[in-house]
Amino acid sequence: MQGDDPESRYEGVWKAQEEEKMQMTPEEICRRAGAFEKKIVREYWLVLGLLALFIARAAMYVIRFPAPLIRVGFASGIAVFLYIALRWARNGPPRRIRLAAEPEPCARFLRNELEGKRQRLLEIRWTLFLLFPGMLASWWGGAPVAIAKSLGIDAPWYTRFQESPAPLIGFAVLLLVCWAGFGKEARAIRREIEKLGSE
Amino acid sequence: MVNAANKLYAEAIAAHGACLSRLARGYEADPDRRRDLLQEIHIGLWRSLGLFHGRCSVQTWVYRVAHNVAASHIVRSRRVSSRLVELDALEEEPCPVDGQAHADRRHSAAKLLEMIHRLKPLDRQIILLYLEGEQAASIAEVMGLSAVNIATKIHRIKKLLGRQFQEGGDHAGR
Repeated sequence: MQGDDPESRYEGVWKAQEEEKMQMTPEEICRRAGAFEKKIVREYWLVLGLLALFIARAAMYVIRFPAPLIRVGFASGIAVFLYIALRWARNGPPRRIRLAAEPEPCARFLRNELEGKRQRLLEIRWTLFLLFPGMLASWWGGAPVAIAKSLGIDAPWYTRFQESPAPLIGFAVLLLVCWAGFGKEARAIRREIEKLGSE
Repeated sequence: MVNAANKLYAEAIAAHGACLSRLARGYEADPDRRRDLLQEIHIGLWRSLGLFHGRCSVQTWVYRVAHNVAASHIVRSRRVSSRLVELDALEEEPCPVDGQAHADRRHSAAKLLEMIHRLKPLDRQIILLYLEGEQAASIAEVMGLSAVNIATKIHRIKKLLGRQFQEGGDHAGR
């Protein structure tokens, strides 16, 4: 195919690139594949561990603080974290290298990957939204001040700040920004999928 | 079974190893991440070949696994909908005229890579297979799209490459 025509010229330029050697024996690949999967499993358990810590912490606050609104707020937080943990555990460790009976044609694979990503974004967005009622209830019940006092922080300026609506408004704004950002990204991905559908 | 897969892997790499290396280059500009991607492609290929039953050619199989692993790499990295463009967008851009700089083949390859790195995954897969010398029918089989569709894309890719290499100096292959 090499000649003077433009097509072979581009191909020539492309193929003349220096090759990056990746010569591994099957044994070496097997070892690396095993290490790779172990890393993914470790990350999976790390996330579950962190979620367990959040749940334990929230449960501790439910027990420690008798104010009903604080209890409702943290109980709601526990429910959300449990929901996240159950969904995470149900899917099992993510396999970055998925195997089917036969590799899918690239266009279909890409569509599925994008759809999976869109679903994950929407799920995160929904979960973030679920955190807000609990946050509102615990703030209303005076949780930030109660927690600060239990930690020995009783500076008047800090107490005033925690009693003001500023932390709640800040959290609400953050949630809204995340909500809008994830939504925008999900819509952009949906447009990508629609374009792929018309290919 | 494992030995058969190992043998098939060794044969596939002997035939397509260089192509996989170029493919990784087409998907990832950062050298460290490119090495990781290439490793991931090799691992994916090695694991998949245990399931190869000859319903398609080894080449189609290798291309599908490699491009799918690489596409997954792009989708994960949040770059699909933000900065990447389609062929149309590149066609509309004015081409910088820089004859002297294009005299060097390495520079031409760098320009080509720069253009490829800006493309969305589907267009990128097609251009990479085209640059490997694959015909429309073969690309269509790898991609799962119609040959007519691929032929149209290739026509546009040729125009785009023509602009890049001829308006830019016409020295690409020398």
